[in-house]
Amino acid sequence: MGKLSLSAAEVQRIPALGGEPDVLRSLQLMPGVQSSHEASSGLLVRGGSPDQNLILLDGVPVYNASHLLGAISTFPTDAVKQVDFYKAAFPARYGERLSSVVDITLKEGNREKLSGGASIGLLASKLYLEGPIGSEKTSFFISGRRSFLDLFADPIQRLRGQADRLSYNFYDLTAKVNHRLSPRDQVFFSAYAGRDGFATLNTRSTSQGGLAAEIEQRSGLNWGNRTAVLRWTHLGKGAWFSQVMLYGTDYRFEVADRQRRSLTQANGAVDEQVFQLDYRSLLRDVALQADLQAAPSPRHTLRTGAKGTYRLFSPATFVFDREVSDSLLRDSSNSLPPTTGWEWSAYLEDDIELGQHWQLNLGLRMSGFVVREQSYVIPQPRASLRWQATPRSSFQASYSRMGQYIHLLSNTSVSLPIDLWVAATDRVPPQTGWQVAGSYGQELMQGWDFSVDGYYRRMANVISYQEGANLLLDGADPTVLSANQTWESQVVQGQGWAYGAELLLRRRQGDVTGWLSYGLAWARRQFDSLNQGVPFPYTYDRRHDLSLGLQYTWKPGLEVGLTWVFQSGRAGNIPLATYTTHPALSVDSEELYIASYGPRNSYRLRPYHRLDLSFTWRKPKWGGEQAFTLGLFNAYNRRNPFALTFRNRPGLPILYETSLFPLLPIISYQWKF
Amino acid sequence: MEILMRSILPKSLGWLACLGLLALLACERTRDIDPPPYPSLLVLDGLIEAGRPWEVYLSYSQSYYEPQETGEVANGQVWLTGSDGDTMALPYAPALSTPFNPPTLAGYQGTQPLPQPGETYQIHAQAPGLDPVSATMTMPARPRWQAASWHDSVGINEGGSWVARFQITIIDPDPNQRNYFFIYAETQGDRAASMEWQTDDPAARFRSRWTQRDTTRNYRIFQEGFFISDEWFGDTIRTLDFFLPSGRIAYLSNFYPGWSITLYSVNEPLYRYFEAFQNQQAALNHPYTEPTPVYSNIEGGLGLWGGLVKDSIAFDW
Repeated sequence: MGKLSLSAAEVQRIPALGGEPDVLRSLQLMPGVQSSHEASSGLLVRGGSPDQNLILLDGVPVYNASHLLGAISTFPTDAVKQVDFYKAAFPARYGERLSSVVDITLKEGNREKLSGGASIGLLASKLYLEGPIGSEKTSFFISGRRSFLDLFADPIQRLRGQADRLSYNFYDLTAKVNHRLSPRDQVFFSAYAGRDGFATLNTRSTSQGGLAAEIEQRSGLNWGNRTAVLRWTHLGKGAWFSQVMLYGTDYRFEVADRQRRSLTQANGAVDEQVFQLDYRSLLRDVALQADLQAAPSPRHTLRTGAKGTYRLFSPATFVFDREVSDSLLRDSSNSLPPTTGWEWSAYLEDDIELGQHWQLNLGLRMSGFVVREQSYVIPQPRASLRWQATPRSSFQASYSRMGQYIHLLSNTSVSLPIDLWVAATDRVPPQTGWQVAGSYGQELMQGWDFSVDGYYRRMANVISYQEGANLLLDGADPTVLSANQTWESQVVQGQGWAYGAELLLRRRQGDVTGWLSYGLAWARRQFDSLNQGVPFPYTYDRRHDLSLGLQYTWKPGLEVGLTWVFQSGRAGNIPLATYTTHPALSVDSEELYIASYGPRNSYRLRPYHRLDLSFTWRKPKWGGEQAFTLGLFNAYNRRNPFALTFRNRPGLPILYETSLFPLLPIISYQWKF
Repeated sequence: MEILMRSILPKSLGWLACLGLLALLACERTRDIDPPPYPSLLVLDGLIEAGRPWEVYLSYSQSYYEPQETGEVANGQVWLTGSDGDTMALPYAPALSTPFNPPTLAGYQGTQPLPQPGETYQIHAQAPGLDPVSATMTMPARPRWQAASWHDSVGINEGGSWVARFQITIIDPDPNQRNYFFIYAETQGDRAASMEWQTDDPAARFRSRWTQRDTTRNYRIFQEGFFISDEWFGDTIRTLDFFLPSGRIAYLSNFYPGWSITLYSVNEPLYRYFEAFQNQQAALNHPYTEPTPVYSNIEGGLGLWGGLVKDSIAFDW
């Protein structure tokens, strides 16, 4: 219950944006899982917020798992072996987040022969290679992916003589080495690095009276993750298994603004000045983890483990540089003081079969966080019980309590890479939550299965920006940060709760496979200082969430994929009415107006729906297999609502809806050997 | 299912082209959104100063997306009840409908008994075609501040200009509850001028403009001041530093006989109203801010029912 597993092959058969199969976008099609908007690969699980999902890549947390401003996830599907997804009944070995766990295991590399593949798509091109190193004891896997939008766009913009040019690219590299020390011991090392870069370049030049001036303005946004993990596993005599893991992970983004001014005199002398302003944010974890698993009997498995994590949060640093005599000098640097903390956890989990029909999973996870001389401890009991009523049907029930020592400062209307990860502090306590869930599963004939789930969950200490808060901490003078401008003074904490029911009908065998999922959900938030303390719908309180996925093997070598999704519109705020201020606020005869929004999140955007189609031809080629995919993303060109903005006509604003993705082609070519 | 799929899907790929064409024909254009209907609400604005006549304004909310009507509320009725249970009607006062005020505001005024510090007052208002409204507020206590002193020793601030420093010491009237203040400095004389001073003290939560109408001479005075919250006091007494460019003082002293500092105690509804309004104004057209509703304590409507108590200290140059 609560667990869903996907293989890379299943993910690759789902029609994808730009022909780029995506693990997290595939999970968004499951009941109880939503995206914040159509350009986001982020997950919203059972009324939770985007920061409440633990995304593990070979056991290492990844904090911002998205490329292309959120359109696709950072994990190339070719590198993925297995995806395990939990949204309830969390085993005690998992923690650190409130809503879900996405546990992604990378391929270990082919031990027998060298193999690989390459693909070209509209969004990115990829290459991967795997094979043995020397003997069969060692294997490797390596993959790389890069977008080439900048290589095409830049020459076109230059040819058109555009003064304002845009540039965007992303890349990621994944590598894993696996060495068998003995029949019982194995060592893994895996690493990941990904980066996105978005830049605008503006050049202006003028000349007058023998003087020529040129101003070049370059603004950029870069963000990316890096992870590295070293893991040793040991299979003990009897039925013991243990592993020790050391890892590091970081996420950083940088907003840079650079201006070069040059003035050329009539006599040819050039006077040049460079100014640069950077805004940087960094989050880094280093952790040591040990796990032990024992099976005293075939019906009984015990697991225990412990972990210590050192966290560094440097949410905002401003650096101002200027160039003098060809050298860039640090003019001023100002930052919010970095926060460091120690998080520890330990767990004990007991999985036992009671007779022929009952299975019980009991666990206790204890975790703590030490920050600024403040110490938090959160006990997290877990329990799930499964009753196999008949060979083909089962009932399950579970209870989970979770704790989370980090927060994400995010705007309610759109999630961006510049959202700030911050630590729980003495002023902003950690998030906690619990969930009770029940499930009924039934296997039907010919590969069909059916399940229905229900859940209720509560969350405490969730955060939101104060009304009127500025997400860049201070808009007036970014080089000046004072004690009353920290993020802690800009947020408020409250509670949330969510409940709902989910249905999933799947077929996993036959020429036609696929699923039909439906979620009926409610998600609410309450903050004492927002909406006058009255509970209000969460931004992503979507009542209905329906998805249909079909994969059809039309004939050998030709596969058809179809996905249709429907979601109720998300909640938001727009001005509904206006009225004049008290005269104490008006100046001369100038009238000042107050915008009235009505209750928070009382406006609903239109529903979201989209149809994707793809056709994949496969046939042998050059000793391997080639696959050519052609399809349509958003096939009936639904202009789905992304955001509401205003367009001014004389004297009056007009409410205006923007959309992101129209009908887009899906084209990709892949060759594997 | 397989049979169904085989019957639906034709044998050739020609249908793919048809589907593509159909998709193109189905193109939607980005569209304007019809705003949701919003009923007009009665707006009551009362910013009551202890010891001064009652002044209350009625107006009404209008659709954000339609042309604004300019007529004022007709045939409105306003009455209030004091702590002693006595009820007093506030008659319509055409004199308050001056060119200085927005044309939609209808003014109501009363004199006896005058509002007093620490008293609780309930107000009711109604107008034809609009739902009645009501609100309750307690006037704050009179501010206690030990002294306001002008230190004529001057220093150089980070920007390199000379400044004059002022120190204001405020006594928290009730440490068990949240208390708020508004402070400003102005010149003395017939035409008072705001001194536009500065402070870095975090207790000064936000700067706000404050407009007062001089009823005797019928002109308006604009003041720039700071709202202060005692959540940053940390004790029962807080001394705040203010500063002003010296050149500004030299200029003002040529035209005005002296200056004064005015400190108001304000109650929580008034503080929250001004704070939210300030945030909403700052958030306009700013993509990185949250939507900011303006606080209202009016049941059944919108606006403010707030109170303040004034005290001033005058100084010669």
